[in-house]
Amino acid sequence: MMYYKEKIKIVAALSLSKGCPICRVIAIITMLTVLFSCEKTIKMDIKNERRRIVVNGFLNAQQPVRVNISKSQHILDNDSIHYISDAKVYLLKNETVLDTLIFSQDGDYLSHNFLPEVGVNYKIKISAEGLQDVEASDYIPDLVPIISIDTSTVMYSGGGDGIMGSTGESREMLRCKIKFHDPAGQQNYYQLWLHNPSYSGGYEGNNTMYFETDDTSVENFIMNYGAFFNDVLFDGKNYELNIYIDKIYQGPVYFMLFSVSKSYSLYFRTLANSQQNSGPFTEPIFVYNNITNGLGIFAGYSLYVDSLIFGQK
Amino acid sequence: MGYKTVQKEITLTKDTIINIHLDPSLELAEVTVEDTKTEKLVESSQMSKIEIPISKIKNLPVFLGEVDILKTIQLMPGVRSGGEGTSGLYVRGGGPDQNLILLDGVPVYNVDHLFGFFSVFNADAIQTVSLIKGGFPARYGGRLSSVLDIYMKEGNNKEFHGEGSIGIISSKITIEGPIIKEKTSFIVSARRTYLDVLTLPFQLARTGGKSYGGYFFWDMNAKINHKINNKHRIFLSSYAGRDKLYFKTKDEFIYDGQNLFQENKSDLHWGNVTTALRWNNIISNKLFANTTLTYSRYKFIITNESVTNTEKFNLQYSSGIYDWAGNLDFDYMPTPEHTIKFGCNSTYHTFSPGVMVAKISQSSATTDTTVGNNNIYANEFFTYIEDDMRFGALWKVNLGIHFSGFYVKKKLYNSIQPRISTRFLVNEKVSIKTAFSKMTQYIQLLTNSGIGLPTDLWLPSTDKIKPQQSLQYAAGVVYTINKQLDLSVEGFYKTMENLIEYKEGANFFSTGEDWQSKVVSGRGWSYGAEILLQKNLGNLSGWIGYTLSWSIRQFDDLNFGKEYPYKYDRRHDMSIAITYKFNDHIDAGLTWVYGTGNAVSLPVEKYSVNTNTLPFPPGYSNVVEYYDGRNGYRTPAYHRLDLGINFHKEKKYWHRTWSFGLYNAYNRQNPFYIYFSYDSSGHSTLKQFSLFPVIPFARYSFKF
Repeated sequence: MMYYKEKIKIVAALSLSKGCPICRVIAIITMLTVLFSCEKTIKMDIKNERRRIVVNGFLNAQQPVRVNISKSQHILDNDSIHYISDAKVYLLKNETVLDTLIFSQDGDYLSHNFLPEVGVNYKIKISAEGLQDVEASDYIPDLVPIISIDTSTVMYSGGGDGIMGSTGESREMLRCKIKFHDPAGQQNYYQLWLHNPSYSGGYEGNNTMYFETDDTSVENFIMNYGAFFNDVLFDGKNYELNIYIDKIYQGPVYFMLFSVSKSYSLYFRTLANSQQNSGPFTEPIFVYNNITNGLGIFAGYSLYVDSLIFGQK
Repeated sequence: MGYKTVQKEITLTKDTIINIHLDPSLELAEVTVEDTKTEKLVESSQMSKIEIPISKIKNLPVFLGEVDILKTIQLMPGVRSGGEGTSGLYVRGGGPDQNLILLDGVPVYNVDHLFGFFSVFNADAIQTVSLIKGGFPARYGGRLSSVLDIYMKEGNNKEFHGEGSIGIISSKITIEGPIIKEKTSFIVSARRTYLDVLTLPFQLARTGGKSYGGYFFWDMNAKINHKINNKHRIFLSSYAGRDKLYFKTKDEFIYDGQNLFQENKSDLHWGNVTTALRWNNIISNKLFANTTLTYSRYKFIITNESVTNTEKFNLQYSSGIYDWAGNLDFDYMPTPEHTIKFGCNSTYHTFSPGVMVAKISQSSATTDTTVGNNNIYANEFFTYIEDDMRFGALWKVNLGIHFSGFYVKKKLYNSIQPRISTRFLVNEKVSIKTAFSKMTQYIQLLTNSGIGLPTDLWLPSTDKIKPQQSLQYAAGVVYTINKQLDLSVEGFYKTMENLIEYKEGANFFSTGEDWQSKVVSGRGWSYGAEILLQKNLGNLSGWIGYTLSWSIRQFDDLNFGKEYPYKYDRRHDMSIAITYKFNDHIDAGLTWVYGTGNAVSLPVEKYSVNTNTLPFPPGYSNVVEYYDGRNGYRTPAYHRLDLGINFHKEKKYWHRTWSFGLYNAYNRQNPFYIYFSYDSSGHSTLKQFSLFPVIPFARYSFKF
């Protein structure tokens, strides 16, 4: 089992990104050209030196509105994040102010006595000294509960893109069929994320569980973020999403089905893509930004959590 | 050698002077006959055309002692290269796929060896090179931005001759001679690089025999000419070339008490094959015909093999384009005031955009899978008529129509393309020229990287992807300062429609039909002015060229629909190319190039992803880089000086030349790639990667 994991690392290192032998070849070319090349520091020439308000906020029906406000930095700036503590933050619905968010700490602003509702379009307006005013709007999509999770042990050998991501070995995995009902007549976006508190792996020990999927409706599968998919293939119907989990996981596993807005989905997919794909041979990916005159994200989601206990025989 | 033979033929058979087959030779003769060359530039109705005699190309060492046709063309105004060392041609704001590159009338798809450091054209095998950037005559079509018409030498049909050279990067040899004296001749040329062989021992030493990699290319040109009689001639010419990049690693280790090994082999190879068979027929004093059959193929293949104790994993990805074509061209001169050309062409294309074959063998089982794009077949055809007319002594007009069509997957595209160019002779020294052309292009090159990798895909227009179109307006003045100096100033304005690019973040490595859903289409335009001062005669000869231009793109789905500079937008471009002949034994060459930096996408601002507000823990770093528009940043300027000197000596049986020189003589560190990094105190900085420092070179050449 461990040898297998080592092999994954070797293959991953050589491939640079999932399913990309050409990337391997490009890496070779880079290595060969390094033989002749040299590097030096150059002065950066930027026309526009303005800074902007950065908004990081997510709307969820079960929580007060919490938005983090900071200032953007010059790309070469080595200072830590500059949080804004004196911004004016208003939450609106149909141009009527519902609440004024209050600063708590580290750039966080919270709403008091106000919980947002599903389906309503909320707008946020922020102003701060010396910076241009910004605004953004989004809504909270309907909660989509998990109806059931069916599990069975199967032999699984490949990722969604067939040959490219797999190491070719067939191995025993736990297949989970996650069933839910998609609301009809609207474009629904989803994220599935798995969490296992007993597992100390994942990025910086955040307990993210790794899983695989060959489900055709998955648009993006991003390590540490899970699977992003939409309802194009199953609008208004019951759907069973197939995922495969390694049998090494123990203890409770939380299946988190996020029902998300389009902005939420675009933001995380472009964020993950921009950080995964970089280097001299890829076109840069612009991270989705829905803050007018500013940077960041303001998006809504609903979350349903189900769990299973693993590993006990 | 080759020159003498040609001149004799001109004087003997008057009719064949205007035969297309001999036209290139006629121009070469003009280089040696001192009086006529400069007048021709002022007189011709053709504008935006560059003809560089092969002898000039061979005197300019443009890259590490290697002469190169495309690199010399890049020294001309209006033409720029993609980057350090690359051969791609970007003509008047157009992309590298918008150039019709013909070798003996056959289109060549990938003209790069070693990612563009060398072109596929061996100067020893080439007779003439001409580049048209605007005012395209009606006989050319299928590409928007330029026509590069290259003809191979004809073998000497009287005597055997040869030449060759040995350099630090490559060696080449050319042999020509008669098969049947004065009737049939042949010429064969070959070259190969050997840097891989030379560096192999160092690599094996450094890695303990565990890994090595390398690169090499070879190519070969061959041509047979046969004169059936005074009215009929045929030639058969062929080119084949191959590039290969390879890498091998081997590793052995002990794990869990077991001896395990892993071996990994990767290679990427690509190449062109072209063949042309032409029959030249003088029907009468006023009419002659050329019938040509051609075949052109470009293919690249990536293979990867991985072997361990328990399994073997094999992967192959290939892509290519294959063309079969036939041409019929006529030249008709009813009166001295009219030179009429007309003809037609039909091409059968096979596009093979990407096929992947994977084989996994384990002790238990073997899995074999083929996944990939299906071949796409298309028929392209065109017909044209043009008349080069003279009205009195002052006016010349070339008026033509090019009609083309493309049939693919039950979809038919067609296009009527008017072409007109005029010349008004103000006096015997000055002429004013104007030109207008409409061009249509049915195939495109989809490229996913800044460097022109051979993995760029040639794809046809389809029912979803429309053909590219352009309109170009050009106007200029030619001034013959004196017998030796020509000055030409031209302005141009070009619009382009239906250009395609990958969607942001799209991966080219796709299978199935979906490449069409990963691209977006948009438009572009470019405009500018070009100045060229040429001195073609005398001991000191060469040219100075300067271009001021803008090149812009606009795609609804890129850069939020806003205009952005084309990656290869170069505001100022200047080249100086000079050769000086001290005496019969010594001559020297100098080139200096300057260009404004490339437009690249570089983040200028950054901001944080706040972890407290995220609905789940962050997967990656917390910082997002913000780009101020696509291609919003300029790299530092590029400039470079190359020097070369040649020492000739006539020996008993052969003529030898020693060439020495410096590439990048003042060691300018030109940016090849810029990126963010940290300096020694841990602060973020912007760094650049440059490729070639000052490199001396030496070359030994011989001729017999």
